[in-house]
Amino acid sequence: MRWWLPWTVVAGSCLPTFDQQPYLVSEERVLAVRGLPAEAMPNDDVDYEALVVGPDGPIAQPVEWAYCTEPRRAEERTGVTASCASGDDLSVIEATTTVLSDACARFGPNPPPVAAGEPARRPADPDPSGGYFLPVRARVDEAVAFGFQRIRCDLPGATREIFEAFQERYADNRHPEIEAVRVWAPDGSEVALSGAVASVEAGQTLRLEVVPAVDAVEPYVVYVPEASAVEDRTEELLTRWYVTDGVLLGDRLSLPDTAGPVHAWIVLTDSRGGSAWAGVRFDVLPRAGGATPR
Amino acid sequence: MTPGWVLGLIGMVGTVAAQQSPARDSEEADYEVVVTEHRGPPPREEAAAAEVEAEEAARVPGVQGDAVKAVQTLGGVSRPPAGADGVVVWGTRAEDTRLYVDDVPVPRLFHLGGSRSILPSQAVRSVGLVPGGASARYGRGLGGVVRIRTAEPEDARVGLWGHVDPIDVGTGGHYRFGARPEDADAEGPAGWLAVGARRSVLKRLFEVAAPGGASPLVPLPDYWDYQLRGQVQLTDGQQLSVLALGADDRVDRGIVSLDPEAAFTERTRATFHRVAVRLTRPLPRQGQTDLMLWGGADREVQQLDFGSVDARDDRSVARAGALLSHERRPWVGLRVQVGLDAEVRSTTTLRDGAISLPAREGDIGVFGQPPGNRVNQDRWRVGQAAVGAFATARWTVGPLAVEPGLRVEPMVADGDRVVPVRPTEPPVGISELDVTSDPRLTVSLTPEKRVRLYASGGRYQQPAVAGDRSPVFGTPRLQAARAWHGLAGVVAEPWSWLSVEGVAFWMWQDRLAVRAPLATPAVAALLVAEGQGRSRGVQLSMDAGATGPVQARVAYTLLQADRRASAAAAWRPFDGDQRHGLQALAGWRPRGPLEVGGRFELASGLPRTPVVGAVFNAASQSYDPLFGDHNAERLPTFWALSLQVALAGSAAWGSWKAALDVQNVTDRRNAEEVFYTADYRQRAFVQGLPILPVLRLEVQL
Repeated sequence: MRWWLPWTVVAGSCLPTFDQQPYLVSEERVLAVRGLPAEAMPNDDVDYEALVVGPDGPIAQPVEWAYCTEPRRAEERTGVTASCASGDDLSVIEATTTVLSDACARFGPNPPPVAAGEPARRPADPDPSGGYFLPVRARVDEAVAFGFQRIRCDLPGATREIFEAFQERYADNRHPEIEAVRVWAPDGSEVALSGAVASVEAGQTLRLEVVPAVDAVEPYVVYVPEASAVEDRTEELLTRWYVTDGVLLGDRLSLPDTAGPVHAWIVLTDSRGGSAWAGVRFDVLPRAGGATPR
Repeated sequence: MTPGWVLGLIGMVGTVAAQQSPARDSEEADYEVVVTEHRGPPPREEAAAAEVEAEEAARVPGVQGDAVKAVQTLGGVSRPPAGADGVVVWGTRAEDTRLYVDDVPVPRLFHLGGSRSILPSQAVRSVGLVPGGASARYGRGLGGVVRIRTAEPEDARVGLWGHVDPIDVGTGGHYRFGARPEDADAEGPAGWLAVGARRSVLKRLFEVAAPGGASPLVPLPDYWDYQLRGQVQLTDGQQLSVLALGADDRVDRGIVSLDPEAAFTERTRATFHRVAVRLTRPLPRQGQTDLMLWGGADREVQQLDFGSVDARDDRSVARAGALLSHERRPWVGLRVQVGLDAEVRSTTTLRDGAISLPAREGDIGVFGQPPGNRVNQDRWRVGQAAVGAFATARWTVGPLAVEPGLRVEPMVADGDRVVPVRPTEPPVGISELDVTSDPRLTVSLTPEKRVRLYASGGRYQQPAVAGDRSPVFGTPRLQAARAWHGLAGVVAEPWSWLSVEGVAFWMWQDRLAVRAPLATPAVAALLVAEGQGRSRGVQLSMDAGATGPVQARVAYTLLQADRRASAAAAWRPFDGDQRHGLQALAGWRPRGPLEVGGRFELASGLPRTPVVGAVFNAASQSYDPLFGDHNAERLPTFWALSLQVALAGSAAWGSWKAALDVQNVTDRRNAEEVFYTADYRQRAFVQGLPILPVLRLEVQL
């Protein structure tokens, strides 16, 4: 049995190439969503915030918030179930709200509620970090994104020893913090940032660097039912840059040849669902040879 | 003109034909009555079966001399997508097709990726396909049956063969011992032993020719296989045969990306071995008793790394079986076959990773889509045993032949867990017994000696596979899936060089294991046996000039195959629904060393579910697709032309053959998949194989 049949077509085949720029902010977008705190128990208070941007920079517009109320089916590879992504099965909330009281039964390891006489239902499956998440939709006009509030639930089926070991060793996730964003000029010198604004010359290729805080990468433990054990893990960080103009290849940003402002954002996520972001504005100046102002 | 059915009635075992004797020098004509086989369409065990001799099969352009690959050109077999290695017949899944080599079940016919079959052409006598309506002899499969018959070596006491092409090299030989059949006075057992082995070379060629240059996107086959066959003639005409074969495959592939979330690697290792011993004892009046014992082991390990989500599936299977069949002709016109077909298997599976994997028929997704972030793990063991008792009786009265059959099969399944492991609870196993009873019936009518009408039908059952019986990833208690086949056709030979056939078929399947409809199904019930399927269509084939210098074979299948998740759900196209399939082959073999052949294939594109939008996932920093109606669109139509030119010759030391096989000579860039941009706003097609010339050299000493 093949793992994943569609991949079989790769055999001797040619992938098409696109001139795609997923990092380019060419319209209003919600780039990041997070709840504060990063991990909360059912009924805990939580504040949601989002990074909303557009081609002209950050957008300070109210965000419409909603919880997804339905979990995903096993075969759904998406972050939220199709009905929720399509705008159904949502429960509107305020930015400051509480985690659903039954979040651990709907989206976590607790058995979902059943009617009398029905067999016990299958609880949700964890992510690779052992976590369970409550989906949150953030919407600003046509821009929509889903974030995921990590929920702290029990360990159903675990022995008392395992449960106590887990409670003792597990620390709730915290959002990573960005200590600094640095920009390096082609000659290796650091570009001076004044209040997250830098003046740079058109056409230059800059190296973007994000410096996470020292404690951004946290150790944590995962309960493994098959082994009936608690395993040690360490978070990994994922960084993603977005810009409103120019060409981005990895952490290299080739600025446009035309003068004008270029906005860049870094979104930092950790493997337990935490996130942080920061923005930089480049005031692109005409080249010494003379570039056309936009 | 004597009606054919009268001739058939006279013969029962054949048709009476008048034939001039060439044995006498006298000018006076002298005739004798010779009992020969009926000259009409040859009788078949199954109504719609097709069989191609290996010599002819290996000549099919585009198969690169691989006789077994010719099964993909037979009517009813869907064109496999590039890189696929299953056999999809009449709208059933590849997993529903039973594969046999000399009646020994094998897990696959092709090496991973489908570049080569598991048997070299030198070891093959014929390639047969029963697309539907298989006799009661066959069970435990919902779909078709592929039968590979191995070849007996040529008459020389010692022989060697070898072949080389850019894909693999192979060699083998045989030794005949004891007295030959023509040595009437000789004593002692006689028989033969043949061995063969192959090793892929393509990957090594790439490593030498372009070190580090091979794209991981293109999986290069890395395999070996072996075959051992032997036969001993015992006393009283009894025959003892042995067969051993196996294959080992390793395939690595993936997509390289600067974005770790878009990178993908897959490593697969698959091995199987089979050993079989068979004793055949002839009985009076063309009767025969067969006893075959076989055993083997399968192992398949797949490791998938997709960004932050990994998946591993490690499956070990120990299998053994026995086949006992007894055939008698108690009266003229009646042939009775009874037997037992038993199989036991023990499967241990370790699966760790994304719960959406392995993908199932009906799952909605797009090429390159990550498997989602939910994971789990399980290790489970399943024991399965089945003893199929079968009986068929073929009764021939004049032009009419009726063959009822019945297969009764108790199936036992035993699992080590009925619910997921919980340290606070003792493990609870599962054991269940299911007794199936499947009637079969074939009726054929030969109203004229060159025409035969036939109809066939029956019920078929297939136990749930061990991989579906996990309490975490599947359901330990799953009923056997069922299928009903019905087909009716006509085969005619208007001239000795032409055979045409048309068959209409209908298949109904139920109790198919499908995903549970709820997001939170009952514990240990991620799958439910509620799926239904239907296939119907017509198949037309033409075979011309089988013995002449010019040959042509055309097979066209019009098929509609649908599935639904339950009786209450709406029908949608089966993932492998190939509405039109055409295979046209032509060959020219003039007297001399030259052979030329061409093959044209055309197939409807497979169904795909369109993406109608996307939403941004802030956790993975990527877009998730929004899908439209299930399988509502199709890939573009596929067509390809292949040519083969071969030169053959012989010398004192043996014979040789050089063949240039050019697949897709027009270099048509057929679409094999849909590929979307990261935001799902643009799409294009993954293209299939470009023009692919393969030069092959074979020698026989």
